Amino acid sequence: MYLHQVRSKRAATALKLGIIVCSVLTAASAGSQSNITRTYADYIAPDVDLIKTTKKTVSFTKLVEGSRPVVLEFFYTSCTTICGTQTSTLAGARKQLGNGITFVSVSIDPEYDTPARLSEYASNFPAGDNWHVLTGKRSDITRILTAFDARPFGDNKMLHRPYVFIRPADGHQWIRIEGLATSKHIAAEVREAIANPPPKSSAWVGFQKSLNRLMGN
Amino acid sequence: MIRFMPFALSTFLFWLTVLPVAAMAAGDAPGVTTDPSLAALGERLYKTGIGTSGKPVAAIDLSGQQVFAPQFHCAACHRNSGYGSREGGVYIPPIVGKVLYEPMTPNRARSFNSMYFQDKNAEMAARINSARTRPAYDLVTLERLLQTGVDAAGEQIPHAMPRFEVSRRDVEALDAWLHVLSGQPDPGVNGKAIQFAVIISDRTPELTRRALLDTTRVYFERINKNIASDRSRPNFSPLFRSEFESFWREWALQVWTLRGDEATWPEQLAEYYNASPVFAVIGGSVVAPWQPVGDFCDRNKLPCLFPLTDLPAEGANAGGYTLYAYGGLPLEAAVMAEFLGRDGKRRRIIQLAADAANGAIPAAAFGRYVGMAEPANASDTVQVPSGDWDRAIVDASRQLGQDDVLVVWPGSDAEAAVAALARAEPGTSRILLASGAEPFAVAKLTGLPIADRVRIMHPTELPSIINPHSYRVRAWLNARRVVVDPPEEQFQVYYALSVLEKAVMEIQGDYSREYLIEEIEMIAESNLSPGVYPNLTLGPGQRIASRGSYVVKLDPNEEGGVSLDGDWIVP
Repeated sequence: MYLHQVRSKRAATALKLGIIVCSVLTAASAGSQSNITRTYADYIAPDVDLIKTTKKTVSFTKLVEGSRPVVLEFFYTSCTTICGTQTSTLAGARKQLGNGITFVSVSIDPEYDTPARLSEYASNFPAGDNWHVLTGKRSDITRILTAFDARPFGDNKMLHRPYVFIRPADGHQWIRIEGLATSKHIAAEVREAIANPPPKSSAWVGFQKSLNRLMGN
Repeated sequence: MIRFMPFALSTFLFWLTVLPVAAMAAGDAPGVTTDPSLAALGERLYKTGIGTSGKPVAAIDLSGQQVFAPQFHCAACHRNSGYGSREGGVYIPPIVGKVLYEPMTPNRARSFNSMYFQDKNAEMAARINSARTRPAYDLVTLERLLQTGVDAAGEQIPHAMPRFEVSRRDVEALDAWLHVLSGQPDPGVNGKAIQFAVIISDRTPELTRRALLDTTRVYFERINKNIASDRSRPNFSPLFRSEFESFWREWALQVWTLRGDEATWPEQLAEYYNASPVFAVIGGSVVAPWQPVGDFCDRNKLPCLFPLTDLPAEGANAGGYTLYAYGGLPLEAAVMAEFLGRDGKRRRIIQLAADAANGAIPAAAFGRYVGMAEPANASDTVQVPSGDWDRAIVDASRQLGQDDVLVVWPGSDAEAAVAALARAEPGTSRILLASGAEPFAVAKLTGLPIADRVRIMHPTELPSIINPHSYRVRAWLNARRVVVDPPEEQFQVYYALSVLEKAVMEIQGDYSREYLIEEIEMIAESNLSPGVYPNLTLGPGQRIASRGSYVVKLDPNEEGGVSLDGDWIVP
């Protein structure tokens, strides 16, 4: 009798688990248009200069390591598939969030994406001020991609992934979103990151940043 | 989630993708007549997003926003060929008529890639692994797909594809265009073989001719032996390669030799082409501007892959049918202008240009670039007949002061021009040379007082950097008893051939030239380059794979006798 009860309980638990798993799977498959993963990670932005649409240079570190919330993406102008969608998404999020957020879009095809070409691309997604669409030297952009663990397979830009990085302020970890999210989703992530910031960066990252500043890297 | 893997087709909108093997040969769907004017409107909508009303059609992105950007036109993702693309784990399926207007039937060769090379959630994986089909699209289901994202089987497709605010007339136009898009295999392919051509001229040096043809022939031999070997063993690989056997064709090589006056080349090319059309042109070296060949390729929509030329056709990067490894002398001119402009000084510039296309074309380009720079500089150009370099350099030296610049575009007279420089030793602050003069400058100017004022354009990889892949290519050629000389040219031919092989594999029997180019745009940046150029990258619509150059100075302590003066410059 006792054994039977245990078996029944196990069967009931298995059934419940099964139902839960099925529900989750169904909800996931019905509700999402693509797979989106969200993680926290510490990144150290390399101190490199990038080029704006105005042909002026800007320090990447200063852009992303200030006290303002930052949203960062990688793209290129001749991209066929995900870049237009992702940039459109960020433009939508930008409208919802207002001017207090710094948006940074870095081209991963810098030799083709001249400032003029970037400017033309950006004009398709009007999003107001404080959106930095940047190109630069190939080697510098490779350093940034490496730092953010975003280098495409074989360094082939055609194999790049849809990433968006969000951070409320320097000193916190980044939220790394992979997949094509909606602008509502991105805006919600930014608001949430401001209200409940991600974990603090590790002491090791702080030490490395200080060291980099001292060494001028 | 299954991770994305390179160079493979997969499925995002899987229900649209699978097509019968025999569909390759099919044209318009049976019984369908297409209104040409309607198809033209459909083409405009497909490529530019302009609807039948003459106004842009709004796309609705995954966030529900109205967007009119070119990135949301049909051709941006499904490409001009209609065969789709892939990127970042997103697969864009083919939408050509022969796929869209045929019922989907399970096809293992097609679904092989779909199964393994695409990010998929559980639902998508289940759909791909099941043997379900979808009916052929018609006007009603196409309209529903575009407006609501519901496919012909009644399934919601992923939101990576926008929805569109199309009218019924727009859908009719698009339908007419899709019925004819890539409807027939392009010329140069039959059931047995794909024809390719190498174009040379009677001016091509024997060494280059041998490098081109020997490398190409042994490469073709290898491919054809592999095909013969696979075909000789029925069911040799039931899980993979045998599935693709029906797509394979033997590679047949034609050598087109152009003779005499360049003005007669278009006629000669047409004669060759009409006698036996080819699917694509590989490599080639005509020792003249590529313009007439490039124009011929554009007229016939014929892919010309990575010719050995430093004189690309005008507007080379504007989306024609020739893909170039590097931007040639006009690129060197742009880099030179950028290099000079970096210190912001005004100076007098005299250009000495060989009295030939490889002198005149870069000199004209350089004149334009320095004129547009900030601050703008004027440059005088002197055409120098062969054998007159001493007089030209002495004359120019007299006119130029210490802070001025002498630019030399020696063309085929590089040795004579450098020897004349060594004798005259001009006193200008800078003597800028085209890359073709580098070996002579290293040999004759190193150690002279003018050596530290000489700067040379260097668009290839530095001599001290050797790409590991070049060892493999060299060994591969040696093993086939092909003499490796000059290696740079042979490595570039090998690169063109390996990119072509990969692209032919990827198009899987859909013999569309547009599709071939679109695949090469995706493949060019992969690890196939033997390292002649530091980076070879293409992308959608891009036509020049290496878009910059180093500027080097003479340095006897460095490998190759040169060292860098600054970074890689992309003008």
